[in-house]
Amino acid sequence: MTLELPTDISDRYELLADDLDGFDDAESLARYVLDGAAAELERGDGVGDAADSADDGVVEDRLEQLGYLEK
Amino acid sequence: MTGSVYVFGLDGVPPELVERGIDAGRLPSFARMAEEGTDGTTRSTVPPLSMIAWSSFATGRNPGNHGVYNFMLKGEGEYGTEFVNADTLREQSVPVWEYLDAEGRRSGVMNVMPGYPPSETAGFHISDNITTPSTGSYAFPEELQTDIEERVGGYDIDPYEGYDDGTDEDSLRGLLDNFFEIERNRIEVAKLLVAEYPCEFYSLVFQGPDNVLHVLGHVLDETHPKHDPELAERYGDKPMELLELYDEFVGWVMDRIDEEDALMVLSDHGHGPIYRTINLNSWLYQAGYLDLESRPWTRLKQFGYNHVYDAVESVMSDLNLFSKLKMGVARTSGDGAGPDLAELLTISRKDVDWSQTAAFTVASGGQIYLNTDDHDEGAIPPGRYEAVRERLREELLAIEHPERGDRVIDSVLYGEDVYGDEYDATRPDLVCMPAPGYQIQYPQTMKTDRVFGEPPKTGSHTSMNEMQGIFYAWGGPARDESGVTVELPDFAPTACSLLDVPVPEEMDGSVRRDVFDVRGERGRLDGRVEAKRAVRSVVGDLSAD
Repeated sequence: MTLELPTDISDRYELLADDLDGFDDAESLARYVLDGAAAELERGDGVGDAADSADDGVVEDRLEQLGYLEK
Repeated sequence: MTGSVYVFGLDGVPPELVERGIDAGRLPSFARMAEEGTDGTTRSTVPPLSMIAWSSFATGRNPGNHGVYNFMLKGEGEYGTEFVNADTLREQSVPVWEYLDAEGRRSGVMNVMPGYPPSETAGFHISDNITTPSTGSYAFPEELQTDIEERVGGYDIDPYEGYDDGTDEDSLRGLLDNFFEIERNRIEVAKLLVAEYPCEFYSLVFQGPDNVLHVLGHVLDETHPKHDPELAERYGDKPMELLELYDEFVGWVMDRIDEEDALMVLSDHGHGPIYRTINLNSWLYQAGYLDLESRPWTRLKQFGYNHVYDAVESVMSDLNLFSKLKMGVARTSGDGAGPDLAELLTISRKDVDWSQTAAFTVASGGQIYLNTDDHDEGAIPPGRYEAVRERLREELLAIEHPERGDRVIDSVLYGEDVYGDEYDATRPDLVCMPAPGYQIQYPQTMKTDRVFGEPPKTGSHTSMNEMQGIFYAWGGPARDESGVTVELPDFAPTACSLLDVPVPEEMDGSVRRDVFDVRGERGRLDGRVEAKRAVRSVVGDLSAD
């Protein structure tokens, strides 16, 4: 089934498809984005908020315990 | 093929250990892989450190092309460092599971360094032992973490508490008991993941062998200065007992997988005994390549740190305070955000007179940077670069231990010969590979009069002797070969090829057609990864709202 895009969006996606590796044209990029968005929405809560920030102090402690930082 | 690819990493397992277990009839699954599939070795990165090695495994790239040269990275034109985490790898490169995700394949990842924050690609991702904070989420999706905690009883992300050198027997026994318990738990987690979280690509790494071998260097090596035959009698078989646990797990997987599936087992480096350490910055100071500020405060600290703090260190070490003090020093940035302990107590980076410094190192592993004039206070103009580098290289190769009389540095490699060009602005200029038995230590704090010291662990992976890890391949597409040498960047392109995904042009590694019956066509996929990242970011923001 052909994906009908409004002209302004089609033009923008055509430019993006030229820039990004792996897409033949605007339609293939648009279909990829829509499929991807649907899949992510189906996965539900938790997408995008998986982790707290890294803790450098903890990393330093572990590297010291492993002997990679001077004891 | 269109089956699944299972890759299991056993961090730090030396090939001779597995060969001995096969010969003794104690590792039947490894024996079967060798008999029916391909066996050989995995060649590590230079230096053979896990953070660099697993980054090359994950991305299929030479370290120079993912830019993760060490556990901590020097900024371009700077003297400071930042710790690596999974965001570093994602910003500078693309892990294979993102390429697979962009092509609609599900990946399951456990404990591949650097693993935090976990990837949100299709499948699951459990972060690693080094970069994961002590509290908070270690798994994506979060339901997986709940599932693990309810059904397997948890997942220890802090396995290193009390991790000393193991030369005290009570401590050694406690450490080994703890590491074995953690690995039995990890294997239960891995079985849950393989059985109930279906993916096309699994990449599950077990840290246990590395943890155990770090504290058994003096037990396994009869020539180690701290070797005790009675300890060897009691604990010398522990590495093989640990391998038997993994062998049972691998056998369990072999019984479950289908004809078209592929299995690979590797280690990222080997392991060997360590007798002595060398603090490279202290040597550079003594050799005239690194200078300290001449201000009175630095000179006073230099005297105090060299001559007075030995006594203080001894007392504070007994109270387990000295390492905490040093770590506090290492953490201070001197940016005015907090108390600058480095300025008050020790000789550190802040005491270096950069205008008079030609060479320095920023982390363990023997990588040296020249203070070229693209640095803030660079001292070496382009016209002098080769002369300074060559003279330094020759002097490094001539270092001898004052008591042992042996050469300390086996080889000194040029950065451009070892590493690719994409991250050449932060590429080390020289890489020292120590002689077997030596470890090049992290020099955040330094005694300028003491170049050599005792090792923090009696076993490690530092020299050319520890560059080889294990490699086994088995399953329907695997060929019956023996004695192959696989490079760490080869795993990602080979996995892509096994899954009928075009091998990204950006990957440096080879598709190993000598190991598997695969085609291995190349393609450009970075745009699809970029589009997928954008979609995930937008949907994530929507979910957060």
